[in-house]
Amino acid sequence: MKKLAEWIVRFRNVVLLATLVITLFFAWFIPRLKVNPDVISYLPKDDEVAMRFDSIGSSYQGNTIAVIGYQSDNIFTEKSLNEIKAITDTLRYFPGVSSVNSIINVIDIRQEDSVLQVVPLIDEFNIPTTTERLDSLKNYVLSKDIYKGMLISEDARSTIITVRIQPDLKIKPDTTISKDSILAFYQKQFPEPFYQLKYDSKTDTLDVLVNKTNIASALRNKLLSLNLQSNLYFGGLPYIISDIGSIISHDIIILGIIAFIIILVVLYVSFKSWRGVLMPVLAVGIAIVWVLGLMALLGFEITMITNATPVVLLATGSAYTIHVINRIMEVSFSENTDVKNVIIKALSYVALPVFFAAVTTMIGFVSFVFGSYLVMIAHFGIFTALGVLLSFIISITFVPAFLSYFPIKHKAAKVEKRKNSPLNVFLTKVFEFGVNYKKSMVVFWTIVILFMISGINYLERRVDLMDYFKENYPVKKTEYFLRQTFGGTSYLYINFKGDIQQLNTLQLMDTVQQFLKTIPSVTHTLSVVDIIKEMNHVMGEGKHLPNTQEKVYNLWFLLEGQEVMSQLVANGNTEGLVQATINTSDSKVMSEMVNRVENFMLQYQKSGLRFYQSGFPSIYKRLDESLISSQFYSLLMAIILVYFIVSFILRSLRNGLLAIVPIIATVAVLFGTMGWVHIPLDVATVLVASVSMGIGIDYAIHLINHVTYEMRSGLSYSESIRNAVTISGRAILINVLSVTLGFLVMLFSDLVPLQRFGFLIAVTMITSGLSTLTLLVALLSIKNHKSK
Amino acid sequence: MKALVVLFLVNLTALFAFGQNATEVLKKMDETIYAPKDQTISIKMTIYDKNGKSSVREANTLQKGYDKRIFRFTSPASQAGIGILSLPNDVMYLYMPAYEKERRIASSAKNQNFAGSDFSYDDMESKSYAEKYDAISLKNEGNDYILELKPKPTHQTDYTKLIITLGKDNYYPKKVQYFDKSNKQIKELNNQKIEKKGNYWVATLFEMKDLRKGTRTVMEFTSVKYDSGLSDDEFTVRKLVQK
Repeated sequence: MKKLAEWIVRFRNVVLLATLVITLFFAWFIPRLKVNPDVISYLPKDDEVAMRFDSIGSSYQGNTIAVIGYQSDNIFTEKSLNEIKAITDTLRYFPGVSSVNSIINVIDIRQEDSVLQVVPLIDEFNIPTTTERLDSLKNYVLSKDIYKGMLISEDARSTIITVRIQPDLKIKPDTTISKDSILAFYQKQFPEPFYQLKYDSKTDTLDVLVNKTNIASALRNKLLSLNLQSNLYFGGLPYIISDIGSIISHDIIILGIIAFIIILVVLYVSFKSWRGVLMPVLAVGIAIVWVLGLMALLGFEITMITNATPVVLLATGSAYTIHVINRIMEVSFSENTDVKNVIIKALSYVALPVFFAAVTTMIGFVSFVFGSYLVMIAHFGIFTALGVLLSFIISITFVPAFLSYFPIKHKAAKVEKRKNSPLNVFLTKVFEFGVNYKKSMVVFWTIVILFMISGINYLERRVDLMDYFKENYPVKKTEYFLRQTFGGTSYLYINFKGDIQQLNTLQLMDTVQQFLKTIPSVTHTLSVVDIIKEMNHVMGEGKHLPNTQEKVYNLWFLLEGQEVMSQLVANGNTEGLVQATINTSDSKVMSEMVNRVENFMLQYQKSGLRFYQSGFPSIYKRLDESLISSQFYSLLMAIILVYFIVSFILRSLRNGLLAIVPIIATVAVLFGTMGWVHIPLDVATVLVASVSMGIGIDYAIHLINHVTYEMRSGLSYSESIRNAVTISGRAILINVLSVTLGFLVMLFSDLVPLQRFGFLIAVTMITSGLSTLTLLVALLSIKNHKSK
Repeated sequence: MKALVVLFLVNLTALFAFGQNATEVLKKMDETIYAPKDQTISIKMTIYDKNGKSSVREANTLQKGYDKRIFRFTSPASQAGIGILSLPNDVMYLYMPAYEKERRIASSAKNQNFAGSDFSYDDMESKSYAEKYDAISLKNEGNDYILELKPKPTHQTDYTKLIITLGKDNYYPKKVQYFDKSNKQIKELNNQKIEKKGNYWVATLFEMKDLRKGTRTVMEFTSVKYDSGLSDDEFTVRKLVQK
């Protein structure tokens, strides 16, 4: 270690220059980093649920549906209808849109003056102008169940326009042409920024990836620029996701800056030196730039999970530099030697424990790679672990090299002052308390842990996407408005495979539809059956399926080629879709719905017809399940793994056990608090456990290592613990305080999960710090007591 | 001197070409296409989906002039017997054998696809181009004319522009490109086999591609008979129901 320290001081210029060059290099790539808010892409490509959803997308012109609400005093005026026509037209010709459904172009089946009409509801070339015609249109539309409450509100003041966004495409290009000219050709075909072309040389296919959320946002901007005089609402999953995304980026920037300032202030109060303040933040900042740059360079995207990487690094990585600086200051107080020697001495002590701390934290994160089903969790694990490694490297190279030029100045008076600083007095008190009341301390913590573990029973998995937003947030208001008026903006699908034109297939689809209607959260259902029934009615035989197969064939003839058919049947009538509109985003309700549908379908398994369920509820259920279960599994794995590593580092299985006690305490308090305070496990909160792991183990390693170090230099066990608590404890407390206060800023976020995330990180930091400084110290002194 | 003669000839040809204005070329094209007095045709229609999977439909048609036509499917079995009768003034009847009923069907369905093919009712309509479109420009390109058409204000269509490539020799269209409101080409018709049957030019094999959907439909005339003296009685609702 000493050699390394000497090398770093000797080649400090190289170190500083190299850091600068590498940082600039990676920073240059960061703007290329793309955000991928498409939740479905987070599931592995070969996941059954994801594949089903994808296949629905490619069969039926897309599975991403944007819902646009249009509201005016009365839809049935010439002006409103013309505006809706303008919207329909604008959307129809918008790149990335595969189909549009509005009252202008929805297919209507009726008999008028003995003429059979299978035509758009409103003739776009002859929009009614007279009050008489407008009123009769209004009465007609409101008289039909398939429009009222589905396409148009009962008060005729609002209507919805649904937009299907193009699915990803796979193109088999002419392989005799070079890859570059293929790409150049298709670049012209798909010039818009929301297309991404990827050529796979192995299979000679060109993947056209479509950023559906960006298309939805572009649509919104385009429609708003039309300056219509009515109200427009933008709902459905693409808008919910894009809004979550933009709130996250907005909050991370604004709140991130405030958090940084708070961390800086706390550090200043602790170190009383601007360099002491800037270094930890700067070191983590550099590590974050490297990680993000590398992600961009390797073509990885920011997901809803990896966007937590910088935040998690700030919490875990800044500690390494704090320990290094703390040690350098400590050495320079006690020994009067030149700055280079101070650094060499400090570094030769601190590099190892910081390294151990970093390695165990990394293991914690890497374990997510093996335990995780979701690709994004694996990416989060890899890049956060990498960031931890980089934070460590920077803290023992760049930081000392920098400080060797610009040492942290201190005056003799300050040294005395520091010894009597409130922090030190507090730490001494903590130490004495921990030692004097060691047994009570252990009992106290045991009770706390047991109490918290009993709270885990109340831990809820229930997550409602709408709960992410505070009340009165526009997306939430829109969603509730659309649910109330039109029954919802997300869909459950049941796809049937077989000969869809067969009467018995249609009958089964009808049965399934009738069943779906009995589920409380299902508001409407739609399939080709509805259209066939409507036509049979017009042919004068009543609103039910025809009684002969031939009649079905005859009716089908009229339907073939209708735009709506491509959304209801696919692949040459071998696939048919039942679509159910749902009015919930509650994970528990959706989960139950998925199971109920699955159970119902079981009884028709023998019918010879194949069918499967898909849509938002099953995707959400899958994401939710795999996210949580993989987390629990990898957390357990990480704790076991870390235990063995720590035992190895500390050369004692018993010390290893001691070291993981603060982690267990922290994890118990974390999940217990979530249970007692009713914070559900979700995408954001589940990550806190990983942070608590990383931080908890660091504190313990520093403390135990410090004790062993002091003992080796000749101090008594008790004195060693005292020094460890007052010196390493100082760094721990500074870290706890700065990160806790920094993260509490998130309580002001617009997104509820971010608020919870901030609160839970604070709980975690405080518990890790306190359990290390009190419980671990008490356990150490009990051990001391026994060994005497 | 020789050069002068060549120059004179070139000028003459150019003059001749200019004399053929767009509207005239359009008129000649219509006259070529709708020259037969009546036609009896057997059609084989192959519809390809975007994955290249195909399905075949067959029908017999009778046509008199360009505004009377009867279209009857013979296969597949599920569609056999279904008939469509088109009469002047946009009057259309559909016969459904399973219901044993005929129904007049709305003409406003013209922009919709015909029987699952890539041809819309509008494309299938045997109405002259000049009735629906104005010729707005004409270009010479080797042995072809390139004619640009815009729909007449009275013609309700999804197309905003048609570009027709037709042979200078026979005035029969080789290719038709269809454009939408965003001026993007959405469909393309290719007359792959143009032959002279008796006195008339006819495309006996042609393909319509839908560029947005990636689907295409190939039509083949398996038998063609002209001027067999079909009477107006063939084009009545009674006849439609009879078969």
